[in-house]
Amino acid sequence: MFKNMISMNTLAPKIKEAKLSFYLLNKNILTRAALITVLLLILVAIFALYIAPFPEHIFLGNDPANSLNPPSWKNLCGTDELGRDIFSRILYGTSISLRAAVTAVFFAVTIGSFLGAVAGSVGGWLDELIMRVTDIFLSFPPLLLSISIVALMGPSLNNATLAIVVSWWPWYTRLMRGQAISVKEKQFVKAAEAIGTSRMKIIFKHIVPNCISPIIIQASMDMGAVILSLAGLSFLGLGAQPPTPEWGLMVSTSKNYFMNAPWYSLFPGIAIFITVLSFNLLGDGMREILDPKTRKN
Amino acid sequence: MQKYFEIKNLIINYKTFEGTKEILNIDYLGIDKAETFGLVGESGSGKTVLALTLLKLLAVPPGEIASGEIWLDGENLLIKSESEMQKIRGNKISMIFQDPMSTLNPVFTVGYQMTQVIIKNQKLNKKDAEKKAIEMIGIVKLPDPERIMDKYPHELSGGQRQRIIIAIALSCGAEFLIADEPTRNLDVTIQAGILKLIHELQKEFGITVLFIANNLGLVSAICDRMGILREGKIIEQGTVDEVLRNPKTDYTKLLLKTVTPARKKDKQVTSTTSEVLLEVKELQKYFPVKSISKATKNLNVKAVDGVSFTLNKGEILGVVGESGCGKSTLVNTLLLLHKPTQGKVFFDGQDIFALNKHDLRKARKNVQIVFQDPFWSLNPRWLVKDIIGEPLKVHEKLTADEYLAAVKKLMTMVGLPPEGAFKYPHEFSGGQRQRIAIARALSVRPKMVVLDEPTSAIDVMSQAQVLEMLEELKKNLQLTYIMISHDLSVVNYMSDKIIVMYLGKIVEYGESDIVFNNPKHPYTKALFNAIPGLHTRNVSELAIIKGEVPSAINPPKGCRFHPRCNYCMEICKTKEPEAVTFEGRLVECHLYGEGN
Amino acid sequence: MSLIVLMGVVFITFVITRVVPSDPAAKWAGARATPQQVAAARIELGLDKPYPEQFANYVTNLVQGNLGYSLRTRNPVMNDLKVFIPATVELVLMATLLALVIGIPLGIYSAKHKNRIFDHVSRFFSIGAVSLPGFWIALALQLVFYSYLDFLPLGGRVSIETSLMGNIPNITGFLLFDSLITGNLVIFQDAFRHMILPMITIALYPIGLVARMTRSAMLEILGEDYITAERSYGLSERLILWVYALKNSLGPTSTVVTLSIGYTLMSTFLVESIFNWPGIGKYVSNSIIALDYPAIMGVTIFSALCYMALNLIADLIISLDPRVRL
Repeated sequence: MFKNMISMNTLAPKIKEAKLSFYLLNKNILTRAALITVLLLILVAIFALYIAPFPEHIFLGNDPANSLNPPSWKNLCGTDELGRDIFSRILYGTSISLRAAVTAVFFAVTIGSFLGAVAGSVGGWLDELIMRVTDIFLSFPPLLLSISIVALMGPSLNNATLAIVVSWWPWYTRLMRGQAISVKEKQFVKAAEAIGTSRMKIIFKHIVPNCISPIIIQASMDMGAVILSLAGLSFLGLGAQPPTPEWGLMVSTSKNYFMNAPWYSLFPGIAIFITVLSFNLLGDGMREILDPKTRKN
Repeated sequence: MQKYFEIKNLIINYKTFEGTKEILNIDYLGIDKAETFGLVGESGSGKTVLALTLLKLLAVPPGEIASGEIWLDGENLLIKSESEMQKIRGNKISMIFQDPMSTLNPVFTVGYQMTQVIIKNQKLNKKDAEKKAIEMIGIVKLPDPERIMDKYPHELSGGQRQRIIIAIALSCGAEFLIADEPTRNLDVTIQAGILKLIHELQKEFGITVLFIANNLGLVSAICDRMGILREGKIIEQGTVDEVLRNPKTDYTKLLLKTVTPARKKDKQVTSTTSEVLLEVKELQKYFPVKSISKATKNLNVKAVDGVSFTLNKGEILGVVGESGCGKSTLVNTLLLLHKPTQGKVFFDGQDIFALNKHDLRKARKNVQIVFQDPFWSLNPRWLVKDIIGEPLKVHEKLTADEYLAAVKKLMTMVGLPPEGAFKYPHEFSGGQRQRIAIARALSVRPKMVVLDEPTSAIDVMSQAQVLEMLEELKKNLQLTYIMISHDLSVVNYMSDKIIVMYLGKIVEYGESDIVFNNPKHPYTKALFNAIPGLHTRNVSELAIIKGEVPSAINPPKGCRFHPRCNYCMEICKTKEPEAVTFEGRLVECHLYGEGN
Repeated sequence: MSLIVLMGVVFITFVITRVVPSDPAAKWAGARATPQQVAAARIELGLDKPYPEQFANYVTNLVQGNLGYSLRTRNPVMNDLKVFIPATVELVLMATLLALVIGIPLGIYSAKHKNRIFDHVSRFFSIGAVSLPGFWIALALQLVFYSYLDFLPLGGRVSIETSLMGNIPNITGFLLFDSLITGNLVIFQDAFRHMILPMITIALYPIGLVARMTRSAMLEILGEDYITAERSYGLSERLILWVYALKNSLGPTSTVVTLSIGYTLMSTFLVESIFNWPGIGKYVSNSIIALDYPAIMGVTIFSALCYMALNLIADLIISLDPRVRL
């Protein structure tokens, strides 16, 4: 009974908020298209094994007689040098890329924003320490740190994911710290201090919840870039290893054949492009939709 | 007959996702040439939208000019093209903006910005334009114009910047000047100077001024005629005398009432006992200057520098002073939000800076605060029940039912519907939010409540109600208040005692009746006389304090006010005055020392 | 302050080289080395000493410009870098220039025409540009412009015919520049034709990035009070946009430049080997295949130092802002 009352009463503002978000989403056709594509990609990632026309081709299963066939009704995207169906491999590649990217972003966000929240709300020497370390990591050019980490740890998709986390978390620390500092100055935090609320509670109940939305927006915008970086690492031979049907790796293998079999390079690349583009468009649209500045007008 | 400036049937809409909203609907507004017309309205009444529309600078969309005509000197501005408007702006109409801090481009020198405007509008060469700019800086009475030309905006104070903005606005011979709350973000003593300047220039150049304000006193001081703007409509217009003496609408009457609230009649009858609740002794708070350069290392901002006073149970103490005088720091220190550099504070007989962590947390219960801005003092992601109940959760152990009952009781006490407990703060109006903040402060039955400008951010309608409620609560709950405000009328209305601060020190302290009716310290006098009230009919009545508030890092030797004081004597430059009792109040000034 | 960061960078690279699970000594000694040879190699490389001493040696060597020996080429890494750096720097600079020349105006016009057709198209284009995998675009461009149109060369810095002509000028190592000042227009033209595809490939990502960042910085500035004030003085839109607002955006712009150089550098690692461009990107990808750790670390340190220097310059430019200059 009591619980119901809460949900009844708290529903009203949320409905209004949701209505506004929906309105803005509706207005932006590109964002809507991107959202649908992302949802489709997730479905493909989950059911890849069931919808792939040649599931046995995904990893090994070679068929030398049919190597490097151009696209046909049988093999929508042609076949590779071992005669495997490229279309099936691309479908399964979705789940590899999405899983790795989600893992990387999740850990980068968690580690980064935790440290940022602590640095921003506690301040003092702890802030100095965290931010110096962050600065050090940020002074490597993008991707370079990941390359050297995987190169030395040994190439594998897991190591590539870890390397991405190592080089991405500082961005979230910086963002979160900035947010926390601005929220900390707000009077409701001062009010809580004056009341005698404990420090932990101030950080995690007052400050952090008010910093979350830009982090979520940033994370969704970063999904695309992380997928791209992972593909890049695989292309260099540092990520997924054969015979994994990872898109970047497929492009990498294909480059020896691309003059004769351009479809081999073409389709995995398009898969990367569409996936990254949808996440980027979605992230950009979400920023536009959730940005308080846009909301006001 | 057509007036110099006329607005006819102007309707402006704003498009939002929920539909189109009308924000301005003016049937008629007319201003004669060389007249100063005052337009008074609260924030949100559409004042700034109007100002931007007159220059055709309103952002379209979301704005939309649905219909209407704006006539200036026989020309309809609304049918002009953008390139025609560019010729009119600056040459014929100019504008002074609200916030001088953000109106000048920070990366260009003052001289560059001025000459660019002059070159563009008057087609002068660079040299002549510079000459003209220097002349204009002289006209707005800034010293050393050549040097000011080379300065960047951030090197100038707010008052100086506003003078530069006025100089730019008038540099190309504009005949019609829109002043959009030009003194809103300035201290009162600076404000008087700007008002005088606008008034003098208006007379000298015979320009027409549309003066937009949120305060009747300002309009009364410099305008010939005035209008009242409310929710986009002009509900009353006429000469200043007509409107102020004989208001026709209830809203205007209410505005008038808030400017001069009736003095409390039962002031001395309140439960003022002689029991001391708070005693502050020689309190100091210095902040180290954050700087990498060696020159400023180890320097301190002396925000509060030796402040002593006592406060009895059941009293209301008003603290007034300009920005930077240390009143907020004083309060934050009393609230234990930061440790003082030196001094002692006894609350209810206890030395609060000597408490250990546990006792400190308990002690915090007894002193609560209500902040100025109710939009940021409540966590936007919490339900009202959690906001009001936060102190209860910290200090008392209650079951869920007791807790909810307590919250609802508090809400009823401050005049809010208890059903609102399950809403978010943004669903309430400013006045209601301030009530929520008050309920939160009262939830743990504090002995003292600090009110930091409690009514300055809420609409006029709610201000009086909130003040009355605070008065009522004080009586019922035996509270003691410390009230900070720049609005002297509010302090005058509420407080029993008053402290006037300047640059970290108390300059005058005593019963508010005595201090208000007969201020002694030259600063207090000037401060009280710098604020235009309804009685002010001419800017020349306003007091101006020369110069600017000096830096608190290195305050002037001797009496801190001496460089700006009209009564400065030799002794003031060397010896710091001590507090002496003079005619029933404490005053720190050599004029009232022994022998005088 | 930047010294601390510098030490941190050096420390991290040291940790990466030492904590890795593989044994550099075994690598150095070769695939069929005996345990004795490996042990000797360990002493030769100083890997038998305690970590603090190793770190001290590492730092000393760095200061002297000694980045160790490449396991693949057997040359000092520093010498290898000297050979490959100019080609990469030339490519990075040209690509960055292209990115700025296209990206900044695109961003400004987008901001000026917010939510109009131009803005939508340019936003879609810039988001598209940052979504393209550079290594794939490189292949696609080669396919179209070399294989199908036979219009541009496949890769390399100059064509074989030109290099056979001999006397390729080498003054600064920047071929375009060198051939131009020696007046060798044949080589210049040839070198430029070789530059086009890699330059476009590498510039795509920063173009999108620069356009987006410029757009948002510009939008923020155009919303400031002083811009409204400048309009109210009757100044023209053109003056406000290209003189006033642009100078205000100095800070964000220099950040953009640094970032875009960072990203072009990143792209060279992926793209140079495709275009057979003799720069450090190709050097790194070959080193990765050969698991040549000293070479990889050398490039890492070198690039990190360059990037830090760039950031420092950007900070200096930002500090020219009178608000910061106190």
